[in-house]
Parts: sequence; C-alpha cells; structure tokens
Amino acid sequence: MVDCNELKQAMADEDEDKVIEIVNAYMAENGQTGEGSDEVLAALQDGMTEVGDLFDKGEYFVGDLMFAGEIMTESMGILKPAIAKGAGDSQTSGKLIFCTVKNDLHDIGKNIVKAMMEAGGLEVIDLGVDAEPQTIIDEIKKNDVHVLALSGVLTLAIDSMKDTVNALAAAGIRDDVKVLIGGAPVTAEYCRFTGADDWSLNPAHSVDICRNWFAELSNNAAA
Amino acid sequence: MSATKLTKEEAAKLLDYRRNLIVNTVRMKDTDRIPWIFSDGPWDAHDAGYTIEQEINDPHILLESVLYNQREYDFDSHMTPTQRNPMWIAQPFGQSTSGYKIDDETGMLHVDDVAHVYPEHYDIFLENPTKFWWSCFMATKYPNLKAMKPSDLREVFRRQNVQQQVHAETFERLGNEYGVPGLFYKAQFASPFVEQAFDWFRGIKGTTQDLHRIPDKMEECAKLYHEVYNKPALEAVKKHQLPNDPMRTVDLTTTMLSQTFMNRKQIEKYLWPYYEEFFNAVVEADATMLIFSEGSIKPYWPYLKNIPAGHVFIHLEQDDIYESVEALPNIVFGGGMSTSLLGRGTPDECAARAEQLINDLKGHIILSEDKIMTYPEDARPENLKAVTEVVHASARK
Repeated sequence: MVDCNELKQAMADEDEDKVIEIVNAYMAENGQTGEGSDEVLAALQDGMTEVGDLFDKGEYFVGDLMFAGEIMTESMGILKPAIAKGAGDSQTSGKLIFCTVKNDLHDIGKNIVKAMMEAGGLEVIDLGVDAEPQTIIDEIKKNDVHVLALSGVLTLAIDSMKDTVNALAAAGIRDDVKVLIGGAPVTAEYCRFTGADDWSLNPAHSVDICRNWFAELSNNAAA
Repeated sequence: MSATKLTKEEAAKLLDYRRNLIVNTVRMKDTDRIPWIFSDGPWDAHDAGYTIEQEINDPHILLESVLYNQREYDFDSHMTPTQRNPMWIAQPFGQSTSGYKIDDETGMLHVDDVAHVYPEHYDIFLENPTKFWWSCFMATKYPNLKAMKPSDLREVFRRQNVQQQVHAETFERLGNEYGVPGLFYKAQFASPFVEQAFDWFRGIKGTTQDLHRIPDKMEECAKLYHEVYNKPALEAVKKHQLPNDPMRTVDLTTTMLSQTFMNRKQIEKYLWPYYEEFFNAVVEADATMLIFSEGSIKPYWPYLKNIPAGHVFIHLEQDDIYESVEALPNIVFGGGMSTSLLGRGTPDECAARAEQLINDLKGHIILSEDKIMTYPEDARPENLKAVTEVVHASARK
C-alpha cells in the first residue's frame, strides 16, 4: 500500500509528478480490487484541505487553487476504476447544483470552487455555463437538491442570478433551496439585490457555507 | 446636458486646460477640480444606438460612438477610446474560431481563456522572439494565415490601415473639436512577460500551469522579453525621446491583471522586479505612468509604498478607492464610481457619491468608472450626466 501521508503532503505541495506517481503506484498494486482506495482518496482530500488552508494564510493564491484542482481531477481520473469497484465510495456530506448563470460563459472560478467542494466531500452536479433558470429548476427537482451555487463574472450575471432566484420562487421551490452566489462582481449589496441566501468570493468560504447548510438540513431532517 | 460645439480656439483652450488638469493631478499638484474620465468599452456603442457587432466591425462606428459619448457626458478624457477587438481585421485570418462570443440580443460579450502558444514554443521564443510571434502565436491565433492568398492578405492590411487612420482621427477630433486630451496616446508601453502571457497568448490556465510546471523556463523567457521589448521603451522614457504630442498626458503605460492569480513568491520572481524597473525609469526621468489594473492590486501594495509622489496614476477596478488612497498616499487612483451604482442607482445617489469623493479625496484621485464600461446596465445616461454636473460645479471659481 502506498504512503498516504506522503501523498497528502505531495498534494499540499502541489507536486504534480509525485502525486501522479503515487496514485499510479497504488493503481498498479491495488487497482484491480479497489482495496484501500478510501485511504488514497482521503489523502488527496486532506491535501486539498491543506491547499485551502495555505490559501487562507495567503501563501497560495488563486492560480495555486486552480493547479491543485487540476492535479485532483487528474488523480481522480486515474483512481476512478478503483473507486468504481465500490471500495472507495466514501460518503459525501451533501449534494448541490453548481453552474455559471445564463449569459455568462466564465468557468475558471466555478471550476476552482467545484474542485474545492469535491475535495471537501461534497457532491457537485455541474450544469456548466450559461445555465437557463428552467434547466436549473428541472435539475433541482430531478436530483432532489437543496443547495444551489451560482457563479458569474460579468456584471450581466447579477441580473441572471436574480432571474434564477425569482424563477425558483415562481416554481414554488424557493424555500426548499439555499442559494449561494459568487464571482468577481458579487457583493453583499448584490446578494440582497438577487435575493440569494449568501455570497462568497473565497473558495474555502464557499465550501464552509455549503457544509453549514447541509448540517442545518441534516439537523432539520433529524428533528 | 450635452457639451456645446466649440470653436477651434475654444477647443484648443479647453484641451490645454484639461491636459494640465490631468497632468497636475497625476503630479499631485494643486488643481481647481478633480478630472472625470471615461473607462471606454462597448457601452458607448449601446448608448449611441449601435450594437457591439457594428462597433467591432466598423471603426467609423466606434469613432461615432466615442464622439457621441463625449458630446453627451463632457468627460475630461477617455481611457481607451480606440481599443476594441478589431474583429473585421482579424476575421479573414480565422480569428472567429478563437473563442470570441458576442450576442447583441442579450448584451453578452465573452472571450474564452484560449492558449495561442504552448510550452514547447518557449524554446522558439528564447531562440528568436520574432519567429515565435509569427510561427507560433500568429499561426495558432490566426489559423488561415499560412494558406491566405496575397490578395486576401492585402485586404487585411488595407483594413488595418483604415483602422489606424480612424484611430488617429478619433484622437484628433477629440482634441480639436472637443478639447479632450488622450491619456497614454503615443506613450511608451512596457509589461512583464508573464503578464503578457496571462493576458494575451498563453491564457490564465496555461500560464498558471507553466508557472508550476516549468518555472525556470518562464523566468528565462521573462528576462529575455524584458531585454527585447521593455528596455527600449524604458530607455525612450529616460532619454525623453517620446513624441511631443499635446494629446499625451502620461509617458509610460502598463497593465496589471495576472497578480489576481499569482502567489507572493511568483509575484516577487516574475512580476515585481520588472514593474520596479518601470517605476525606477519613470522616477529617474521625472516622468509619469498610468497603470490600467484589473482585479485587486492589493498584492502589490507592500512594494508600491516606496514610490515617490507625483509619478504614478493607477486606474482601479476592484479595490476600494478610500482604502487605496489611505494605504498608498503617493499614488493617484482612478475610479470611485462603481458600475453597480451608475447602473442601478439614481442621479441623486450618483451625484452624492461623486460629491463625497471630491470632498474627501481631491488631490488623490481621478474620478472614473470602476470597470471597462461594457453592458447597457453598466450605467444609466442620466447618472453619468449627474456626475459630470457635480464635477464641473466643484471647480474653483
């Protein structure tokens, strides 16, 4: 079995070659059975958490998050067959829909936050860019999702965010879905304007907001 | 409120007044009011009754939009009156395949994060920069280039000439008819290699990958780029060899965007050493510099603190102008009027914000929009007019 501490550290250091080497070594040894894929996945996720911490401390910046996301995606691509064996499907702590809103095609920020969310154990249904409110509503209903994250870079995206929130209300599901907005133009003022529940410009903060919402949902369900 | 038509003499007098107003503000000298400049973008086409498609496909429409804008809002200068993507020139090259998306129905304008060169091309750059631009960058960005017939190429160059002539006419008419100077018209331009890679030829994702995967190669390219492209510009500034043009208000210009993705170590290796040389050249020549920034420039704050007063004007996008002035009192900042207020607020709210900025920060700022004005929602005409009125009324009698 590979050294998961070494893997975690390599991920935190964004040492792409080492991460891929360790993941490949794991697959060569255990890929057929999937045994131990939980630990490998957890090591990668812990490494990503460390990346998020370094971002919060100001040592890493947005490009580092982007690169970490790429290493994570690359690693997951390699690990997929092992995870599919069922040995590595660790429990996710919540499922959300994430997209860039209608009339906006920017996805770099969305993809960074998505990678952080997935590394944080959340399941993300990614609707891509230029997402129509009706498509979002259909997917929310289809997947029984209660958290929606909307991203946008253009000032134009603010109106689309507001339209999406209004569409949730018109569809009668606004009270069932928490809405988070994020992206370059987003401010507290725009959060109020769009009617979203919260806003964020920080990937790690976005993950925390969603996790808190899932914890609330879980508590409400238990009560 | 629209600007009245000026006689030639009135325009010349106003041009002189406005130029001194901007130059003296950048120099941090006493002025009778704050300058008010427009951060031009496709908003001007919407406002003048054109579409973005029309503006980027016909430089005459861009000219008409800019002049309409000037008549309507009486700005002291325009940040980028001629800088729109000249699609009509690039289309025969195959530019349309390179990720530009324009939808006038929704007002959407988008450029994909596209890489026009790849890591293997850096060796060609190090060997021969000119070859790199033509055989790597141009060949990827303009896929039709190699197979083009001479007659098609001639058409491209004809369009390029028309574009340049109309651009020159734009500045000429702004100056001669409206008394409006340019800002960095005929100024020198310098920029770090990584900033250029990020903005123009390698893309955000590509540059980020390269900085992580091939840091030494990037450093080598950065040094060579600086020698070949920046040093001549800095020498021209130092030797006062800039063309003597009444339309120019600053001597050197640069941009700042890539800091929004880079960590401190990367900034200290790939960006700051080059910017520092730019600042040193400007101070040594007792010249002035305009920085058009996008995103937050806070990562540069620790370095910018040592720049002497009266040389640098930074147009802000994301940072709070009060906070910026407090942190860097030697620098003049452009901005203060957010598109969220200009686009969604009332004339009274916009006037109140402008008045507050004038009262609080005169001598430290040039009033402007906080973004390249792009979408119809970025400003209401009546709000821009309200700001112009406040600015003009604030002039010392």
